[in-house]
Amino acid sequence: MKKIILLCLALLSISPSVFALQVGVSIAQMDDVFLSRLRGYIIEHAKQYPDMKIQFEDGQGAVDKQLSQVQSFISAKVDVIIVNPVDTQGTKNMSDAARKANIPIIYLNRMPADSKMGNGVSYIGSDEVEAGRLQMGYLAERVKDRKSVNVAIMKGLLSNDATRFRTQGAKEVIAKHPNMHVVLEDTAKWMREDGMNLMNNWILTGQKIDILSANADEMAIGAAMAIKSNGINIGKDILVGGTDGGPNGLQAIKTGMMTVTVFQDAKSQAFGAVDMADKAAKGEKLQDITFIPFQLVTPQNYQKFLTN
Amino acid sequence: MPDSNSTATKVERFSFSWAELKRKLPKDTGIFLVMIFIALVFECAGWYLREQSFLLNTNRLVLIVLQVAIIGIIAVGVTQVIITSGIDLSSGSLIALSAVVAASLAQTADSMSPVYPSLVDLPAVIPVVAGIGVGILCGFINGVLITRTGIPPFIATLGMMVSARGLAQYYTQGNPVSFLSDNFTAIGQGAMPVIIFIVVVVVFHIALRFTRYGKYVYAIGGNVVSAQVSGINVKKYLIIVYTIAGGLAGLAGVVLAARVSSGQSSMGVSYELDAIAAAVIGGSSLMGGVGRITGTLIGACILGLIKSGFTFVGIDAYIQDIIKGIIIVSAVSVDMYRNRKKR
Repeated sequence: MKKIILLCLALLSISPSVFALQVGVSIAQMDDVFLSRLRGYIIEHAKQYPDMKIQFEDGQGAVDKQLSQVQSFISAKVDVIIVNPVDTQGTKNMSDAARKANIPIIYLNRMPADSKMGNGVSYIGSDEVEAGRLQMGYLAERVKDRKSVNVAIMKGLLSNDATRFRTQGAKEVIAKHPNMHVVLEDTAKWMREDGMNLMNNWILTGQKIDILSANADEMAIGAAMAIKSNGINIGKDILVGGTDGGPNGLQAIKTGMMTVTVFQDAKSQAFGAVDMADKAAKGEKLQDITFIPFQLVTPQNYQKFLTN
Repeated sequence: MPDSNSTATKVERFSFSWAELKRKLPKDTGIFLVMIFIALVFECAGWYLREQSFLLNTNRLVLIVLQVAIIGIIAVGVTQVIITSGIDLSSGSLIALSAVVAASLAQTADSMSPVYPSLVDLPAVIPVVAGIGVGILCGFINGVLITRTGIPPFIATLGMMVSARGLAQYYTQGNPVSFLSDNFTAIGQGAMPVIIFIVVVVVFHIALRFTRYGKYVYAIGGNVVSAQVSGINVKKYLIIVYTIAGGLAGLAGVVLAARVSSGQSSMGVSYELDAIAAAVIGGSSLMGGVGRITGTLIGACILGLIKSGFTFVGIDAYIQDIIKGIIIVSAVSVDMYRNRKKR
């Protein structure tokens, strides 16, 4: 009797893996507003592949946790691993482990800085510097006739690459325009409440701010709420720029709380990653780097992003 | 000889009245002076670096307290827990859970993808009660776990901290809950969070100092065995304390969601640590039996002062957290030194 039960259990444990395509996905932080959309799109597109079985893990913003998750995917012998890295400079161990186990690994949304692409390692995502350039480029164009423009930059978590690269892109554009100066720069940790508090503090310093450039929509929305409650006119006295182009951001463009944002195509990134995973599992060779372009969202064109 | 006698009595009289004066001053004087000192440091730095007053600005004074109002509300609950020589690590996660639950019941008809499409445009009282109710329920669970199973408060509330956040993430699938009705967000606009915070401080200060509940809480914290032996129903009052802490966290979550017009499962991370810092800076001892709501109020104000002060003076973001840690430890050391001398 015991032997029959054991045999059945053994068969049950083998059968799914014989027929299914196992994909292990580790997301850097599952409750991040943008990353949760990414996850939603992965789930949605995976339905196109009926034999694909996806297991999600939450890196919870910890590099070591994510490494452990990748290692347990490897020991569970998944077919493909998709990683949205917590730290783009902490990917070497994960890439090496995946290569050693001969499991294709796809990096999603955040470009690893310390892993070479190719040989089983590929990347799909967007170029964060471009996001900063696009946002500030639009704002610079709006103020090009002004003599002196004060820019305040509201950053995300200082430990994230998106913060560094988006700020870098914005500053590149500012450097090209001699009438623009960065007068204030601080972090609001991606959170709306922090953005609100920081903007209130900045307004109280009496410093004139012409442009508020935020690394993300949530912070821009918090700043916009603070600006409004101080009676300052958005669009006239101050321009507010965000990044990401999610539902909250688009709504803010619609109501005039934000002047511009940059749409990060979570859908294309996620769908692309799932397609790549299917190809890789079937043994096809993948393109090393696939960039999904950012798109500028203005009050004139925001409608077309709403349906997404 | 008569001369030295009279000198001796003069010295005696002088030192006698100095000690008496110290005893007559409220216990929070020490930390209050620390707060004034920090405020003056920023004031001087402000004049030196920006030629502007830091303090003589009503809007900024309100903002200083507004920034920490949410943390302050949970700190009032945490103070009571700490007085019973317990600890509550779940406050921050309960803020997230109550914020998302309240927000999901406060959405308007033009929400893009409402959590409950049939429950939009509800009167504000429903999400408020739901949010606070969630907090009360979780606080109650904390209390029951701690008193019935003997699990240390650290572990029980740690478990709640992790589970509550997970539940908030599951409830929202990680998505923010936005497009909240104006009736609901009115609770968080302008200086409302400050007013709610002050009301909470007054209510629980009175409760701790003048009611039987307060006396029992201090008794349990001072010596739980003596309290038990003197006939206090220790289990009942511990459950009440943790339930209150949970309920206040629920209230804080509701106010936060109203203030930023959104409920997100990532809210309130590390708020419990700031709340504990405010309580400890304000004079609560983690050993139990010692602590005052007024002290916690001052502790919260110190945290707000630091936050505004740094931005005002323009200190690099990287340096801010380092200095914040040093200030917290220094403030507590100064206060402990003062208390030790008194004993």
